[in-house]
Amino acid sequence: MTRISNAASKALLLIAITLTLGACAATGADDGFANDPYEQTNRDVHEFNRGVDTVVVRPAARAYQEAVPGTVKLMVSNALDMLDMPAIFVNRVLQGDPERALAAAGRFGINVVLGGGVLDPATEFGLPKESTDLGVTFAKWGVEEGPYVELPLLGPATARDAVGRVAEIALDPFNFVTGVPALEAVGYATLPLGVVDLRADNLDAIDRVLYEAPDSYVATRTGYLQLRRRQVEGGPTAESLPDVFSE
Amino acid sequence: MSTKARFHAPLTRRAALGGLAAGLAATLPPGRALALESAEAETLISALVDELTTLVTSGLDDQQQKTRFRALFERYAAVPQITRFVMGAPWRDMSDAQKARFQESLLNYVASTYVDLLLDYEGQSIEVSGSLDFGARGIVVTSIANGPNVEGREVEWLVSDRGGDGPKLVDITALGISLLQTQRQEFAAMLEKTNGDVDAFIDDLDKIGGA
Repeated sequence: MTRISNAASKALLLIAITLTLGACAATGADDGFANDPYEQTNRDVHEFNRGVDTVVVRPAARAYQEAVPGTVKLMVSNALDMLDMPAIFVNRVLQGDPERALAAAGRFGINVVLGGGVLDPATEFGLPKESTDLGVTFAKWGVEEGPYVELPLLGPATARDAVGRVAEIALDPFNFVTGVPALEAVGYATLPLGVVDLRADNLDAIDRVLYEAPDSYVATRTGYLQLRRRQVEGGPTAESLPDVFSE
Repeated sequence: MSTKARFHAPLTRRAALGGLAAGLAATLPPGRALALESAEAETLISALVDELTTLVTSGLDDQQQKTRFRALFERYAAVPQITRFVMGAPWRDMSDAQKARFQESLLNYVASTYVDLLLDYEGQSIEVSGSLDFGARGIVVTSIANGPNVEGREVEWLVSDRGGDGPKLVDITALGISLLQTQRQEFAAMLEKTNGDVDAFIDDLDKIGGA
């Protein structure tokens, strides 16, 4: 029990610090795209995170990419996806979307039974992975996006997503809650594996954002905000399309 | 929220594509007074995808590919509108000479940056899957990319004919990330580094574009 509160309160403290230390230097395109009052602090954290990527995450992802055969990598990705499914199910229920909740449950069942947890036959059955999380659930409940923040190690977020992410870490049965050593071991093992797997799957795309963009902080922010807004909206909307003929 | 549309609705047109689409493109009179039709937009994107696929597999050298890509961009995309949008608010205060210089610089930048990006997608295929009509904002043509790491990924192409010279590509979006919006934010950041000096910004852009 003390483990839960420790982990959660540490992470919350981290966010509180990030949110309050902001130098309130609002800059950017000034077109309302990004709400970024803490830009200076965020930029410092971004440089730290980029350093962590350079020294730890990218080399690990490259080594993983080279050392592990494609089939095994695919199975690892599938297993990680499967572990996400219960959380996706719960979030779909919380979002009042029983159809997608059932799809997540069906996907879980099919992949566990027919795929042994490491194959993905559900996609062939017309139930492809559709990610969602607590940040999206909050958005569906009407919680505002809030300012953009870049969190140490956890990466880009909005205030809304930051709260969701920390709550997820605290609530994930594979992380800290259960006190069951076997489940905790799975949690500790999958956290870094998930990061490396994600990085390895997107080596070039993330390299481009972090190391090739003229301003990697802005590139990260722009990409993240669009990605998240789309996950909330679920598809293109008239409001999200650029109005190039009005300017 | 009422304008929200789902992907699975307009799949009926999928069958109409392919060989028929190319024939259709040739018979359509340019600049019709009617509103842009979904089939037209889909035809445009199918044709563009074919051209890009040919370009990637052409075996042309670097410089030739860039020249060819630039020509495709000028032919298929709504260049004046895109130029204005990615420049953002400063556009209004720019002189005509600056505007012309920026557009030329942008074309070179697009050619050199996006050819490299395109080559990363070698070995992948893109198939047009349908379209969604967003009225004045244009038609979103949906497509499915297949290949390593992008299996089943949806790529959306925004097409509009409001520029007055037939249907043109306005934007490309994958995973909700719009090239147009991303470029606009990136240029804003570059402009900030030059303290709003447009000429210095265009100099920087030229350096990346290799002009």
